[in-house]
Amino acid sequence: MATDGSPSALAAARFVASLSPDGHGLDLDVIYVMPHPRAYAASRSSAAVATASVAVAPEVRAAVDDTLAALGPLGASAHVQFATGLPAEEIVACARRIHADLIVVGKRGRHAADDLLLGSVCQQVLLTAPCAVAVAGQV
Amino acid sequence: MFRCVLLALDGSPLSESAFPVACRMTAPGVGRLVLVSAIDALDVGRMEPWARYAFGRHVEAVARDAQAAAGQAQAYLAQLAAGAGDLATDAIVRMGEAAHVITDVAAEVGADLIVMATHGRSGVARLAVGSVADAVLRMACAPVLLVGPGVHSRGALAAERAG
Repeated sequence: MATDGSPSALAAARFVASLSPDGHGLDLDVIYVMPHPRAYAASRSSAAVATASVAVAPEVRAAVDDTLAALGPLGASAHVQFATGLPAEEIVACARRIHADLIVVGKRGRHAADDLLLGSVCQQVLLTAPCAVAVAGQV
Repeated sequence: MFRCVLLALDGSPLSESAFPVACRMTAPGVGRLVLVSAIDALDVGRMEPWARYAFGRHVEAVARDAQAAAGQAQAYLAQLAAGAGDLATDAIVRMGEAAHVITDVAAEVGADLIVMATHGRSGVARLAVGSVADAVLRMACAPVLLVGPGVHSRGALAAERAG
């Protein structure tokens, strides 16, 4: 499953938890993708990007911790991965690497544009996924 | 696993490719798999009197076609349900626009998961998912499991290799 700590991602975590309430029989990888600085280059100055990438670290840890907590018993055995790049690309690449049967994403991330009901990451993952994709979370 | 899984089907092999996934997601013993098909035909019963008049005798033909399609869909779902093994199944065919039928039935039966296949194409290039899947994702109150184009092509690839 992919997480960014957003309410949708936590809903996705609860969905995953319901797949295996006792925490057994499910190999779970949790991936957090830190958007590559280049992804922001168009809209932010490099100084701002540098500051942001340093400042974001505890926030990332908190997002992952929240996710693991929402996963219930599964959280204890989950493998946590961090990646840097375009979220959808990294999520799909990770799924291929670990031969995932299922990718779970939230309906919309923290940075979703307000006028889009479905997050762009979610859409791109759906298009390129090598396996089934579950989308959880309230709109 | 889930107690009530809704699988949306349109009769195509593509939509059927999500069937094994839906079966696996249904809790054995306690779970129920609900197969749903929508017949997107003109709903004659809800037409305005002037429209009935304007369409004249076509109204009857349209209603007959819709009834025939519904009958075929019901038979198709029953046939598919037979392949679900020990799982308890329901087959629901309803008139209406697909995404609305799927989300309405999901709410009525209290589905805790909606499963459907998506072709990953759409008239609008920027949309990664088909229009029905997209609308279901937006309206549904339950999580949606989509079996996407990557899965179909991988399945096709495996079939080619095996063949």
